[in-house]
Order: sequence, then C-alpha cells, then structure tokens
Amino acid sequence: MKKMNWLNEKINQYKDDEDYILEGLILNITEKISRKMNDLGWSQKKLASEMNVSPPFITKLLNGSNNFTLKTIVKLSVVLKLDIEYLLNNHYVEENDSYEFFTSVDSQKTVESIFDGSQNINILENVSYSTMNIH
Amino acid sequence: MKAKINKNKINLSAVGNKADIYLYVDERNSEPVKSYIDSLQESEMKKIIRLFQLMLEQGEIKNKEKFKQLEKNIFEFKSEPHRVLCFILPGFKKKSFVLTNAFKKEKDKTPKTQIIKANSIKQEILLIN
Repeated sequence: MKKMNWLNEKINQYKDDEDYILEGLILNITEKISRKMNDLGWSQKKLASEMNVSPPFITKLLNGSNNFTLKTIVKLSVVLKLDIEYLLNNHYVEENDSYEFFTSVDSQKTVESIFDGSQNINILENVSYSTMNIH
Repeated sequence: MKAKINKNKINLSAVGNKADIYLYVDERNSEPVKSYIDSLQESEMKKIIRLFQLMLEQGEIKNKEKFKQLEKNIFEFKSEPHRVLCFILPGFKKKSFVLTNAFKKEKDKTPKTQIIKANSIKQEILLIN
C-alpha cells in the first residue's frame, strides 16, 4: 500500500478524536461569523459593539481561545442574523451556503430566557457529537 | 516574469478537495515545519493540523485570526501560540501552499526576520527566469 503523505496521515489519525472534532466545530463557526462580517463590512470592533461585549472578547472568540457559550451563540445569531442551526452544524462553509434567520421574536426570547444569566452552558463540549451525527 | 519550480525543495504533504499543502525541504533533506509541528504538545498539534484541514477543504480561510496575508504571496497560519508561514505556488490549477517556516509567537506582530526567512525560502523554490 502506498505510504500516505505526512499531513494527510495526521488528519486521518485524529479524525475521530474528541478535541480534534471540537476544534473543527470552533473553526467552522468562526468561519461563518467571519464570512458574515465580511458581507456586512463589519470590523471586530463593530461586532463587539453590536453584541455589547469588549473587542478583546471577539478576538478571543475568533482565535479560539474562548469557548462559545449558548448565550454567545444566541447573541451572535441575533446580531448577525444567522440561524443557530446554521452556526452549529458541522458542515464546511461553501460560497453557496444558504441560511435563513429565524423570524419569530418569541422563539429568540424563549431561547435567551432558558439560557440567560448564570446558566453559562458550555455548548461546544455538550453538542459536538450530536451536531456531528446529524449528517 | 515566469517562475520555474525547484521540485527537489518541496514535498507534497497533503492533498485536499480545494487545496494541496507542500513542505519545504531544506539542504539537509529535512522538513523544518514538519519537525516543528511534530515537536509540539499533542493538544497544540491537533489544533494546527485541524486548521490545515480547513484550508485543504475550503481553499481559503476567511477568519483573519486564523489565516492572514502578510505580504504579496506570503501568508500566515495562526494557531495560538504558533505561527506557520507559507506561500502559494504559481501556475497550479489547485491552490498549492508551501509551508516554509514555523515559530512560537512572542510578540503581537510577526517578526520581520521570520518574513524574510519565508521570502528567502520562496526564492529558493521559485527560480525566477
């Protein structure tokens, strides 16, 4: 059998690793956020202001040092008008990705009230497998 | 100006749907970026490998906290606290990156010496006629 190239071999080695899957999910979310920011012509500072958070918080989100909480996911989906399901599905971003913003204000409020305040559920560590298994 | 590629200086490291990744091979026949990544803690290695996978699958990375252009045809993969510099091989149908050098970030700005190093490796690989 032909020997696999070094990087392809590493990718193959880690493909089922929990940390590796989590990193992939974070990268996919940050790509979708960045794409939308580009479309809107928004800087990190503008996004921070719309979300009412500090600019360093946005930098940490985008460079992967901060984990995403459900509250952050909801905030991002509201200010960027991106569907939560689209943000969390573990698909690779394609140019022709289509998505629709959920239009019901009630449903946003419900989601926000469930996870509001101190309930800072660490979403990525809880849902990475379920989102992975959707497709 | 047409560039001829010195194929002895590059080694195909990964084939992806939208991009390929090559490693620079130095005068001792070793691949410095591979050695650097192999020496990392496994948790950091996984992150950087996953970032390369994203590039292989998308052919681009929009998030500037993860991938950034530094100069004309010099780019930077960013996986805290590590940096991997690269350039794109001209004249290839599929986007083909060559990883030139890697280092641990110490300051916010990419050190000029590392950019000079990447450029000099690029010149070693791309023989300008």
